[in-house]
Amino acid sequence: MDSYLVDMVAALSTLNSLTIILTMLAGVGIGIVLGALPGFGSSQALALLFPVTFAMTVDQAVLFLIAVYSAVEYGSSIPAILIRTPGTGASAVTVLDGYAMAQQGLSHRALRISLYSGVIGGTTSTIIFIIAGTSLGYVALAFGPGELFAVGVFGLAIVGGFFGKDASRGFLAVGIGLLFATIGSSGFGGLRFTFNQAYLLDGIPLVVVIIGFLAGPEAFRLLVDNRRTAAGKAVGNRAEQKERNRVTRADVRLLIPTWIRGSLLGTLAGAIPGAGGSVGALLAYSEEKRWSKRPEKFGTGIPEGIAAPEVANNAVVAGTLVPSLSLGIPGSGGAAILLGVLISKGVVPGPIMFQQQGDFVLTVFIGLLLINLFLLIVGIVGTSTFSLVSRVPLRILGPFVLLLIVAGAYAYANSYVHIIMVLVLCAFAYLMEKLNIPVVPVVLAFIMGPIIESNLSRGLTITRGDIFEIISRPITATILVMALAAAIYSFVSNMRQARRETQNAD
Amino acid sequence: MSDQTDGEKRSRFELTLPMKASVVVVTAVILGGFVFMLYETTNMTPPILPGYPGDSFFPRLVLIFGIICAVTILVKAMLKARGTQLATGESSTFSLHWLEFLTVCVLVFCYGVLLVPVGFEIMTTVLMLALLGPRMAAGSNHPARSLGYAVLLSLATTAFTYVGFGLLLRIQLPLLFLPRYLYY
Repeated sequence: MDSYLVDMVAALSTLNSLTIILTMLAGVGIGIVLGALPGFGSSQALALLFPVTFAMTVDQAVLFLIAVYSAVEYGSSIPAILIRTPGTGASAVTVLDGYAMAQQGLSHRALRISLYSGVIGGTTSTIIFIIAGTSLGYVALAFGPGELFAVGVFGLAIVGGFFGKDASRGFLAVGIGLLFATIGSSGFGGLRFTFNQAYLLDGIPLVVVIIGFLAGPEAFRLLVDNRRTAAGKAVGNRAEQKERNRVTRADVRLLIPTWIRGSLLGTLAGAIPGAGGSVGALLAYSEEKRWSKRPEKFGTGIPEGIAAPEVANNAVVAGTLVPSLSLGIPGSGGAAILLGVLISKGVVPGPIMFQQQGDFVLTVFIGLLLINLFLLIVGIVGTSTFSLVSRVPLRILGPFVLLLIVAGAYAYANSYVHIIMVLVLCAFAYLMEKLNIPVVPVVLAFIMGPIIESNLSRGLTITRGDIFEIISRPITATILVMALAAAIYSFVSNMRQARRETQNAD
Repeated sequence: MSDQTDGEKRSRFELTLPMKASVVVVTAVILGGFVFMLYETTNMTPPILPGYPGDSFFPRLVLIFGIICAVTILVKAMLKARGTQLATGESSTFSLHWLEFLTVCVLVFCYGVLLVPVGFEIMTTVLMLALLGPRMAAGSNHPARSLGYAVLLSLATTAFTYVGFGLLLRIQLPLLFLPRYLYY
């Protein structure tokens, strides 16, 4: 206990430095801007800023990169809410209710809910880490390949079954996304569906799929339906709009259970190596829908639909640091870069670090609490500026969204081929939406596909091809039964609704 | 140009298609694609590692799943009475402004193909002008002035993209005459 207090005092004295505080503030600002750009996820942002840390001390470098990491997760939800262009896979889930709310003239409210949820998620998961520490890392390791495979299947069962008006079309979209994910190298030396085209060897890049399927249809709508002139439907005068955009105490009361569930799920998803923000956000959204008394309202712009993925998405950051610092296992691409910085500065992550460099570990986590505070301040100040986008006439906004899409696709690998790829996907997604085939399941299935496949393959390799040994493990079996129940329920619910409508029509 | 006039002009290029038939046709095409891809899996590398099910295992699972979904949609469409919808609350038709859709596709395609040979500066300005010009001029009382603004906005956007992506984020844009690095 004494050594813990000594470490705490040392950590606080390290953080009580103007240079450190300014470094974290700079990280937050840069992270929000980078996160708002399509194609700049946390890994890309950290990789880009890695050289900047060469001249920094280890504390400065780690806190700067963690500030960027946290801010990217928040920043990516801004374009997701305003122009349906998520910066990262994790914020793809935020599009569903965030954009729907912005379309009702409530972009300011949507951004605020996203901000508060993100900050609460980040803060809660940090506190969980400070309390639970290394033991959480070992719990997370109980999730083997079979369990991760089951979590992925469960996520897709929810995504396919409950997006759109028809479960079979939702599952068809899941199939398309999974199929796209198998294009390119199999990871075991083989090539799949490349048709001797060099540009398909690495598969379709995630950024191209995300912006093609989510931002693409919106860009086409803005450009093709150019008779519309305003983004959100402004209802009432300025005072009324201000009132409607407020996040009230009633909202907070409504969102507290969502925040608790999302924080726990996000921290757990972060702690599981390989799961990450996308899995966390998707799980939190699915669970929220399952727990909700009004599941049919999800996707129409309700606060819980924004809060659940955002709180989980930001909780993932501290969660990711659990296996990274306590076990030396990076939970995500961003965490791998952070580990790289630590190692380059002579700090070796692992259980011994907690014993020998407890002050450093506490500096990181108390710093993360401060970063969340800075994120709140910058976010509150910036919300009004960000929501100005919703006042731009749509026919003018369309070309800019399209240019952002094209630039984002090109920036991925400086290749014009990705511009053509993104164009094809945009057009396909636009037509899919016209036919009420939901596009979000395509993106989420694309993200989950490699996680599901690699874990299934790994599990089969470990058990020498015995699938029953994988699916009969207690956690795996429970999750798979839940997935099956969710899929069956979605079809039953569709049939019930159809019967009800027929009766009403009669 | 008023919205109504605009709408009347656009209607000539607007296709109105039946929803159910369109879903059936598109699903049938996707089903055909799935079957072809399933055939393609027979050309994949066989497994070498003990226990590893092979490169074709997961794609086959996915394709069989996709085929079941597509067949479900088609069977549902066949079982539903003529004139009824596949899903509840769905409209019976949808419209597609094919000219606008094709224009955007052609513009982006040309941008992608010509970006490297012509250069980022010209192509980006032309793309933005082609998209912004007609949109800003439509509904304006002074179309010429609006076009002027569109030119300025296109140039500003090109400059902004160059600074943001090219200089700050160090993305290798195919520049024609602008410097790749600025030293100060």
